[in-house]
Amino acid sequence: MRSIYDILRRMIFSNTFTFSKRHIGWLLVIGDVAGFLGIMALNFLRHKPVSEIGPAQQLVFALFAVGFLIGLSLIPLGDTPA
Amino acid sequence: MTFSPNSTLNRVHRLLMTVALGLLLFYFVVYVAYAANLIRFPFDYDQGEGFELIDTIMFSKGQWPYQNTEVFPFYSSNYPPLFHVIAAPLVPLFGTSYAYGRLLSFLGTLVTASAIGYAVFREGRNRWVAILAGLAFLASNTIYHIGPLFRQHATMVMFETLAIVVLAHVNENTNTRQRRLQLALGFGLIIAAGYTKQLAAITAIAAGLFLFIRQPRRAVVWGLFAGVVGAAIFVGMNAATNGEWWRQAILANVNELKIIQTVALFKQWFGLHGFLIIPAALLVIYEIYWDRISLYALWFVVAAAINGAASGTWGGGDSYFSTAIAATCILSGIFAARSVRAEWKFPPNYLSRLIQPFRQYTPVLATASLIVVPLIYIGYGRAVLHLPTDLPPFNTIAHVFNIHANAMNGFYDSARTQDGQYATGYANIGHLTTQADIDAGWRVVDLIKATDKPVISEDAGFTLMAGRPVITNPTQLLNLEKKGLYKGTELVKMIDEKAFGLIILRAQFYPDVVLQAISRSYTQSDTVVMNGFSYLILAPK
Repeated sequence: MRSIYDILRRMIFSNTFTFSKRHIGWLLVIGDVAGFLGIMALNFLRHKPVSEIGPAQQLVFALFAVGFLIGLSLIPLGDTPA
Repeated sequence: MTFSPNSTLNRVHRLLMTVALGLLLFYFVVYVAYAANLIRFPFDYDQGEGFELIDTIMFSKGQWPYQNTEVFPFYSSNYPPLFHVIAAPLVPLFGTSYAYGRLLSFLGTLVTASAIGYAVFREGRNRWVAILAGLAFLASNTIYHIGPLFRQHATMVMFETLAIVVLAHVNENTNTRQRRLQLALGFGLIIAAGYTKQLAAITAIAAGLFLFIRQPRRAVVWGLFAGVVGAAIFVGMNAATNGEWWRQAILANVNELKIIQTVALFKQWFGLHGFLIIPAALLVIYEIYWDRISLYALWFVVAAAINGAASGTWGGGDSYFSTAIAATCILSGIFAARSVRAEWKFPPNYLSRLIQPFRQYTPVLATASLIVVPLIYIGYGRAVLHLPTDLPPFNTIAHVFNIHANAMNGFYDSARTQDGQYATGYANIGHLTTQADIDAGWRVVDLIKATDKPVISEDAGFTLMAGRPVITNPTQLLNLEKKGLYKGTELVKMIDEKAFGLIILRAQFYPDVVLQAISRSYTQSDTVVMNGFSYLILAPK
């Protein structure tokens, strides 16, 4: 939490803050997982079974998967500027 | 990493680069011939051009084209105003004509190609590759066929590309005053692109993401500033049009997605531009893992993903890839220039181990680049092959290389199969018009002039040239109907009362309720073929 607070503080007040590869990696991982869960939750609320997931949603899930993998691969690159 | 290629290799490199340049210059000549042909053509060439001309005429008279479609003349536009506003001062000078709109759009593509060339030269410092990158944009089948149309898409891409070129290095500018001017210009160009066509939103997203990654504080401040300016224009237009701007240009413009069309157009985009997409994608991967992520890379990814997906919507099509094509040309050009100059560096990280075994081949790869880079452009030139097959001097080339027409009016387009099939959503244009097409158009105009009553024409050009008021914008009525925003009571009543002297149909892109009324009260009296399309002339029963 302290680390997130520190990043947010520097993002708002610093003129030199820039995102690192690790930041982008985590953002992709969290964003893709949240996106996947969000769509699944919407499907659940609309009583749409998994078997009825259409090609458009399949495409979006595939993009989420690619984004997730890229995110994971960026995390080890550490503080290198993105 | 430097090396000294021998003189023979240099000569082969120059020879191949000359071949690549000659090939892409050939497409430029084809493009100019096509543009010159269309600029002289007095009627609609692409569906909807006439309605863009009407918008331009209305702006020249100080009128808004965003109107209530339930009352006579049942006309409204669904496009933002900037392209038409730019063309409007030419209406008093040249009258009702497609020529200046098509010329403006064509010139816009030349500006875009120059901006691409400039960006590649700035990043890669190789004049040959910079010229090839700019010409590659114009050689694309998609850019070729939409470039000289009286439509706003090419102008949007011009503003987008200029914005990207202006903003790409804004963070490196240490002179505060210059940097602010650069940011203001860049955001101004993005707003201009957005008010030329809504699709430019993706460039705003890419630029916003780029600035946010590099310097979030600056991105938020300037994003808010641009947002306020954009929103103020939006609210002002909405108030001035009694809410019709929101209804016609925004609500009616969100259309359903046909995933089959999206997939078909993605395949076609890759099939035609794959020679440039692969180096562009390699550069994106390189930037993600070994360099800083550039604005060009973000623009490419966002444009290909979002606009590519949107190409499958009703009203979409291959033109939605234009922005991605511009980004592809820039990235592939930078990749090519770096390869020729052997400037690749791989700072150590956990992935560098994967390429470690290949480091010993660095001089070989650098040497091979001198051959591979021109071959990439030659391969691209082959993939986008398009030319008139009947018109001199192109017919000689077509004969020598045994190229046979696969589109109307004697035109070969590699986006099609030899029997003329093409991906769903690919625009059926690109061919040159003939005198027979012009004669056919005037014949329709004579039919309109022969009646005293108002005439509905699905292509506006005929009624415009006859000096009659333009009634309805079919695709916009259809857009509204698809959103449940159209009743059509008054128009249907007039059709049932046979208030129109003639109704001229082409693709029958009217709402069902209108088509049903037409079939009740009108019958086909004639058919005129223009441009390969059959125009049905319907008279009252």
